[in-house]
Amino acid sequence: MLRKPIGVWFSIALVILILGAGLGWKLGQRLAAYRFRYQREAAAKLPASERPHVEAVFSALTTVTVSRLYAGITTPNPSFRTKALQSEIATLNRARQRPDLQDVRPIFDLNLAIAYVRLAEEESETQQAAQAMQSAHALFQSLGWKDDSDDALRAAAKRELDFWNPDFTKKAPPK
Amino acid sequence: MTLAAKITYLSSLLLGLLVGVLFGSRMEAEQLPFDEMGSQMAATQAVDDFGRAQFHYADPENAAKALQLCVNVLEQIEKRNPDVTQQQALVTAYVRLAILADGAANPAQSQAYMVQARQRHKSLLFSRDVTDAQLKASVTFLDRSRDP
Repeated sequence: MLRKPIGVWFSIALVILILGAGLGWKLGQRLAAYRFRYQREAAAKLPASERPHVEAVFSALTTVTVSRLYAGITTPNPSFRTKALQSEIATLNRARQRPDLQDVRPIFDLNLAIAYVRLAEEESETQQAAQAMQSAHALFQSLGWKDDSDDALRAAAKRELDFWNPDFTKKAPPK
Repeated sequence: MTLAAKITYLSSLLLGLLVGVLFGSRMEAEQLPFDEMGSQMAATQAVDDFGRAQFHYADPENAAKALQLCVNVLEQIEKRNPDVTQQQALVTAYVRLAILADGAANPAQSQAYMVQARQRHKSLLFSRDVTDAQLKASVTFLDRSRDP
């Protein structure tokens, strides 16, 4: 029988060790996540029947904030800004169409309306801008906004954007 | 493959798995509470922003509906995993509901909302006894600083 030199043995063993560690790492992560979820669910005061719905709502609301933060990032590249807004709109549209999230649909509607106004700002003077503004108007009306004029909606969207993405480079006015 | 090689390779695999599981689970266990806290803050922020915007811009009927929705969702999130951020958001939502009830000349309803707000406020860390007027004034001040 051919005996391999010790270097080959060692190399193969090392590769197996590294692969095993990688596999173990993933397994360990899953175990920790499972344990964490189990402990949290045991401590939660939610009935088991309500749990899937609350988890779905929680996850969707987290996504709303994350996608808004992502779309709010200031960049000098207008095409990136437009793409980020379109992605936010697609995410929110998907969420508001889910049957299990209908009770929180107004939250998606508001964020979607603001995203449409911002998209209209980005795509100024185009047919897409007019369509976005029209969609925003319909959503704001369904939410019962008192003033849904273009200027009021633009001002509201700008305030939202400024809050999420403050301009730290802007100097404070002199006292 | 010789027996010695088989033993060596199997030992490597087991050792690798053991080290990976130990370190992977430990690192993840340290990271998960932070992820959860971030998600919790993000979800609460989405609800609170909705309540604030509707309170500020919508007609009273829609604003009250929106704030009631906020209370329901925040209470569900609270049952899932209680956290100080929801308590804070719940105080604000109840105070806004009370302000709307004041506007609708419904003092009994306003008082009921303020009882809830005060109860929640008491459970906050470092909170002190505040009057209804102080709570309403602080929420109005915060809202004005965001939506002048």
